Amino acid sequence: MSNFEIGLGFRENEVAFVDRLQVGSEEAFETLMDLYKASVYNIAYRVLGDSSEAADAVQETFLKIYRGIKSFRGDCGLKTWIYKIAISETLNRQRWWNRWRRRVSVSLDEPLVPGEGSPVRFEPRDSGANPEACFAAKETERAVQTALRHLSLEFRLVVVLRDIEGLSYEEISDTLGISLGTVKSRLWRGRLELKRELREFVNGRLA
Amino acid sequence: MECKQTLKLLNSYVDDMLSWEEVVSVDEHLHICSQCSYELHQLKTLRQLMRSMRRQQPPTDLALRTQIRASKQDIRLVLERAFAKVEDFLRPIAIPAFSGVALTVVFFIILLSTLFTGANLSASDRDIPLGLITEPRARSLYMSQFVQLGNLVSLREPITVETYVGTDGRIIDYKILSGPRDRATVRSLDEFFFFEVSFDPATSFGRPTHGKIVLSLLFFPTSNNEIDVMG
Repeated sequence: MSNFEIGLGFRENEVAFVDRLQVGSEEAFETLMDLYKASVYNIAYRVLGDSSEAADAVQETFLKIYRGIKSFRGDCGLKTWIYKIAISETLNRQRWWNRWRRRVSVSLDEPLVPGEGSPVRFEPRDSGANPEACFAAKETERAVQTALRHLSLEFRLVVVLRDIEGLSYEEISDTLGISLGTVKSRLWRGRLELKRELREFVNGRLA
Repeated sequence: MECKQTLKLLNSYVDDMLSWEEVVSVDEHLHICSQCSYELHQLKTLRQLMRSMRRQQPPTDLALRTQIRASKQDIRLVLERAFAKVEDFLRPIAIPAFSGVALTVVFFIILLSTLFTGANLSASDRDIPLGLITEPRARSLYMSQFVQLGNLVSLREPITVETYVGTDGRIIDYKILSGPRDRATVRSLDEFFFFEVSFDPATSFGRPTHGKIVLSLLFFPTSNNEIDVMG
């Protein structure tokens, strides 16, 4: 079964697919990875802001899935279940990462490479010198990543899941185990913060 | 609808999460309120900005690395499961098994001690202990008319004799260690030992063997003319 076929009729085939995963089919696990590794990686990357940390988080997530797929009872959708694991793994990393970064904060800031979202790299005076360059994909990327990092974790998660991963409110509510109302309010607060952080871009586009 | 309400609903409006009625009223307000329109525009721009983010590609070898780690984990998982199964099997029988073993130990201790002490209590003096070397033992010592009393009268002082006992329990030879050594005494002793006395032979690991025994003889001139023998 190709990824395309699974993607097309995934809802219908989910039970059969989970069955195959549960009996330990390597092929099914491979397919699962192909389907979700990019999403899991992106969530982890956007939340953690570090590619190698994100890669580790993806690996741990899929190992947990591999270990735990037998206990998956289908109470929630497979996608929600995977996202739940991914987020808990990412948050574990985040806690660890924060502790570690605090300890070596000085030495770590300097070797930050462009594209990693270093606040040092994003300077408004660049945009003053060459406004068009600000909207170059890389600059945008960097600015958004920085803004995300300045958001508190609970807002960041909701914004990443909604605006980058495109999950519905219900899916976010299931994944994070919070009410729909909380999803809405966190999204509202998160976007407000982001708007403030990214005012250069948001206002600039109006012009 | 006022700005305050509209601003609250704008997020859901952008995400198409409003009911039809709500959408209509927000639209109406947006037509007349440039501030809220600007807010909406900003929100839409922000969303567009977020969506335009380049999708990060995970490292190409990530899947392979994960699968390798997963297969390694398989082995650990199998071992863990095996241990868990053994544990599950043992746990319910742990207490009965332990008490069984403990009871058996106690039972055997009691049984063995009974066996040994029982053997000691019930065995007669004649039993030959196996695995040991025993001394010869006087079986009967009595005076008969063959022994000439007259001679033994001279045994007023104690006489110590070392006797050599053969495998059949008979005396082969004897030697006076202390006491009178006159002829009459020797003859009386000869008669006494060779006709009146019999021994259980010495044993070595249960088999009769030669042995020697030291006897102290003392004649008491009582009415019964007893000879007291002290071995």
